[in-house]
Amino acid sequence: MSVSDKRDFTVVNHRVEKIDALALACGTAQFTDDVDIRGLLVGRILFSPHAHARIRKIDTAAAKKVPGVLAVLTHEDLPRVRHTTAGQGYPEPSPYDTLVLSEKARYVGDRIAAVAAETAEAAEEALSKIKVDYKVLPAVFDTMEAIQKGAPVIHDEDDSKNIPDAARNICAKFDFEVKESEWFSEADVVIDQWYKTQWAQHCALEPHVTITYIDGDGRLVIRTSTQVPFHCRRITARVLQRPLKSIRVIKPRIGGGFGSKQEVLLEPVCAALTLATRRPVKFELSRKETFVSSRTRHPFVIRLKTGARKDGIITDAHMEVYCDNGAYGAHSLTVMMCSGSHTLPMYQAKNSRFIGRSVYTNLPVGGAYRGFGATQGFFAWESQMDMMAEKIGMDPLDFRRKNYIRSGEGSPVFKAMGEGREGIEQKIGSCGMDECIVKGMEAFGWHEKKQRNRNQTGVKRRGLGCACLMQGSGIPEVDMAAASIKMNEDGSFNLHMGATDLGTGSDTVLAQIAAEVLGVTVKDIIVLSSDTDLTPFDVGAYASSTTFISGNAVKKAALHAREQIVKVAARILDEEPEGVDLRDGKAVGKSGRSCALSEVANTAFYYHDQHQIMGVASHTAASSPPPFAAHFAEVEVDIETGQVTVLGYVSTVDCGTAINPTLAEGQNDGAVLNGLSFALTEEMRFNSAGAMVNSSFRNYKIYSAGDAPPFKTILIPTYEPDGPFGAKSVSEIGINGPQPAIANAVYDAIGVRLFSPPFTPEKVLAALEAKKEGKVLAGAR
Amino acid sequence: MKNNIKQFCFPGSAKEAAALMNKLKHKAVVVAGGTRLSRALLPSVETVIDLADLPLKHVKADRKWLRIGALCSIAELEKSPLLAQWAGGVIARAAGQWSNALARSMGTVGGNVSRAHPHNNLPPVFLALDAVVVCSDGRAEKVLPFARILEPAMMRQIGTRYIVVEVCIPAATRTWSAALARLAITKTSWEAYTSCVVAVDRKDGSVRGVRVVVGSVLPRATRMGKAEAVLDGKPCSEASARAAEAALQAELQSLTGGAQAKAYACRVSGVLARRCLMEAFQG
Amino acid sequence: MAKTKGRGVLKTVEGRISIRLDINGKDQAWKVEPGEYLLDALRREGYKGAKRGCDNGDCGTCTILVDGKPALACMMFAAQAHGRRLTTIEGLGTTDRPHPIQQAFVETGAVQCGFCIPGMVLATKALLDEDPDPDEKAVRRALDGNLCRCTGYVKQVEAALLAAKKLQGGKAS
Repeated sequence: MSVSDKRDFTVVNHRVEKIDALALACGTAQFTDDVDIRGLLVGRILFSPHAHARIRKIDTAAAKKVPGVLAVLTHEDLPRVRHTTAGQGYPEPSPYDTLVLSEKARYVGDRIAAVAAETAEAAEEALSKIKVDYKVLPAVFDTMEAIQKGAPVIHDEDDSKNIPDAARNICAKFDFEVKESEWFSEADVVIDQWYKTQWAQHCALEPHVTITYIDGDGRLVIRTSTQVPFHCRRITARVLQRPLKSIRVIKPRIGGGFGSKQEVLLEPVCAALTLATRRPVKFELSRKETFVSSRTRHPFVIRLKTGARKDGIITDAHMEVYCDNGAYGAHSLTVMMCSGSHTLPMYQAKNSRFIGRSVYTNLPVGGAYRGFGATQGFFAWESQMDMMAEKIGMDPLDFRRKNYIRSGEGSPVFKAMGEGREGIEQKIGSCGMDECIVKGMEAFGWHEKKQRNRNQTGVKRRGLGCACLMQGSGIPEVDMAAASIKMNEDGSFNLHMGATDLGTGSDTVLAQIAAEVLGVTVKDIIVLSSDTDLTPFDVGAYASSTTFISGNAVKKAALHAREQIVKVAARILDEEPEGVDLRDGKAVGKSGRSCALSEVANTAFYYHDQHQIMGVASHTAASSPPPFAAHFAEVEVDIETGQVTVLGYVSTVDCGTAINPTLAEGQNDGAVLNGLSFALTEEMRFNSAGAMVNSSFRNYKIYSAGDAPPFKTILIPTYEPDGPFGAKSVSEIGINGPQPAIANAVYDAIGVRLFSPPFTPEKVLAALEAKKEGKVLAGAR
Repeated sequence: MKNNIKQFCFPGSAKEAAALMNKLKHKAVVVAGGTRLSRALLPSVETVIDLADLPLKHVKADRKWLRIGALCSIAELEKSPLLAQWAGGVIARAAGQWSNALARSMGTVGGNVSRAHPHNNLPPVFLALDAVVVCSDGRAEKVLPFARILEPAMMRQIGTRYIVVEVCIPAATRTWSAALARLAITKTSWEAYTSCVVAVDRKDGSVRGVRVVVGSVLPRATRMGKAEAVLDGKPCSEASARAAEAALQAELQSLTGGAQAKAYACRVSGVLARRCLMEAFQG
Repeated sequence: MAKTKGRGVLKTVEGRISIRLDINGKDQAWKVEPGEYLLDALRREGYKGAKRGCDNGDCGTCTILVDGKPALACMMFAAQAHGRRLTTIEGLGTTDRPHPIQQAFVETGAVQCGFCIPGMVLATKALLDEDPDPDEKAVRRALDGNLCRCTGYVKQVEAALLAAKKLQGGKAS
């Protein structure tokens, strides 16, 4: 077996310590703001206090006079370049509807002006002295109202591009249908239900932060907390009308992103102030600003109308989604489409239809957020699966097993729906769903708990719920990653890649892939990621792409280096290259004779056919193999207060080969816990003027170690033929399960269906009351 | 942020601190545990008085009183062996339920009772145990019933005219049966929908005296007089507890002006009160 | 009540206040701005392990130990640290010689993005100093002020329990 297809791993699939963990635990690893830069100015932004207002005039004269203030910028001072902040492959499938500093206030928190000053005090005093003459306009805060005729038009400017229907506040649309027979003609049961999900924020512990400066050669350096260094360079160059080659983006250690840092938000404004002042400038959002003025999870209104036969076969799926994008288009098309493209292929309905609209409202802006639309889509789908199973009298897990997509199967949806454009045909190469269900039920004790929970009478009622999930691994034929590996005299290697470790552990995982190919340990791999001057291109860390796509690029680059090593070693060993293997830091010949890699390197550097051993490779994928998962929840509902307590939670996940099982478990643990608080506590709330009222961790509760319920991740190994050493993605899928699993468990406990998370005690009690009074819950609409 | 602070003072006694504060008036501000004052700091403030050195970290009991020093951290109350024994350990439990470990480590008793916030959870328990507060104005010490401290007019004088020295709880409450409950979006949430403390003095299976206090719902912790009246002299039974629940819900609804936004909190306050009563009756 | 001596008075001179404090066992003399918060002063003086996650006392990323007790550096004026004993993450261990708690966090996979980890490690230190053999519940309570969005806390709780074992093992041998 060639090294490329090997399964007896020495580094991959091992619980290798994360390569940056020690420096992080010692506090020495450097995040964006952990450097001292002489003469650093403080940047601050003036945010709109109005949800919707035309700006008649901005007077910055008084602000400019504040001592210590070096620059005050408004939209009039910057090139008027409409763009999207969404860091995506070029050309981005998003509306170009944004200016770095806005010419019109479109939500409370919109960016109106920017200041750079010697101190924070001076910057803030300057902000208070900017006089903006606003003409307040009527605003719209409801997704469905915004698309009605006569609603305030949020993007009435004439220079935005790629907005399908600005007059109706529609910033993206996508429709598709596959029809094999008359709609619902074969269905024995039909369920038609509306769902509504909430606004939420990523809450990466490190806020958005950017430092810009001009280096000794006059180039603009952007040191920034980003998931997308190369998109950041491209977008910043375009909006500031600077040559791309004059910009260098450096990504240091990142304190979490979860999608929020896939947006190019602070870099252009920070860079503009550096260009205006010729001084280093730092922008660091406060926690409140991070909540309001970075990015959020889009709330969705979803109508799901499905039909099934009595034997458990799903016949029809009509999915209609309204994705609230807030004031700007950002990821409007792609997130909306993923709510369908990641859910509809899961269960193979003969008739499938998707109607998607993304909608502008005068609220904060929706962006990429772990799960990326699939989270919202699966809440509807997995709730509806339980409802259908009940209606046809089938066990909910048996019902899912009858319908989920198998290895070797394709789906018309794969071809019809990609991310922002048509997708590609693909067949499932690996699917561990059945084992996910079986092993998950066993570890959770599904049957025992079902038995135990029969005939409950007290004020605290227990219930069980499940959800089955899939996601993707990168965007096929769009995402591209590249890596280079060069060999040093001591047999170590520099691995340079654009892939962006934002705390996910990708530096370690990718080093493991390289080490596996090169027969060394991760300690012999020196990782650099990422710096647009030094590392090859990579689209960045999003769409669950890094392990699968960047991993394949690293594997190819390592194979490329390996070829060269083997050639030199064969000469040293006086053997044929075909017989030479690399292991334990040595090149080993067929005869059993070996030489150290350092000898190989030195031979290449100094003795024979002198050259640098160096591998370079790129990768794009022709498929996006889905990981699969099954989630199981047990809840206890207090029927007097409505409080839902999660007693236990098990999630099983098939991510192919886990390159690093510890890190894969950690990814899933984090996604699941975020999903749990998204189900039960998290919600951005707004007052009647559109201002967020709970923009702090005190009022917007994410779970602490003391709040987290007991939960467990179980990895289910499969081997994905298209993945590096059999790997698929793992980072996003886990967040999609808790909302539906808990909603299903609450129904099991108290017979009440919840259609709009978060499931707060107040809402649950109201739903119980409504049921008692015989009212049928209207659902989301 | 912009400020006009010129000096920090670390007085060694409450008397000294209070005298300084009264002398400097609006030119001084008092800090003790953890505070983020910058947004509220008046431009007049030139002196920060840090109370951290006051020798008020005691939890002790004498014949008449249980005395809790104002500089005790919330974490110290939670871990106090004496408090674990007092009225079913209700003070220690209340301390343990407050916010998170870092807030408990930094926060002080004085801060918790003297910052007028409905979610602080020592005030309900102190109110339920008939606490009094010893304050100093730099010349004399003054003893105030706990409910007095919570009145807005008095609250404004804590930290401007008076320094809290200690909270004293009558020795008789040691044997009372007490219980508390809190309903919040998560365990470590600082805010709560409601919190409830009951303390019952029982005699021969009947209620000899009772305190029912609700926190979080109204602007300050409040005794529920109607619920207490319903219980007075009644047997320690579920029927009594249910009657108290209904009385409390009605009283709270009237105190909140029937506000729709508070309807849920009123309702579950009754549920928690009933549950606390049942626990206290059995305790 | 016995009168004890406090730390006295610190006055501003030329816009700065001079304070003395013990950081990680070393005496330091700092000049701080009068209204400056301790987190800002620490970071300016090079203690970058204390992070700014919210500047509002809600996230725990700026956790340090003051006289051995966990405290939020964003919730204290720098001048309040005068005369106190501070421990920051830099005072625990180095990458050459990590503290057993740091080692335990690495071994269990408790570090993901790592932004919350210095605070989490110090909160663990405070716990283990007081309770060398905590159970899972005690660990969760002690860490419940240090928010983490990456890990789900599963491996961090394991890390604290492993650290307890390591430290106790160290004492036994």
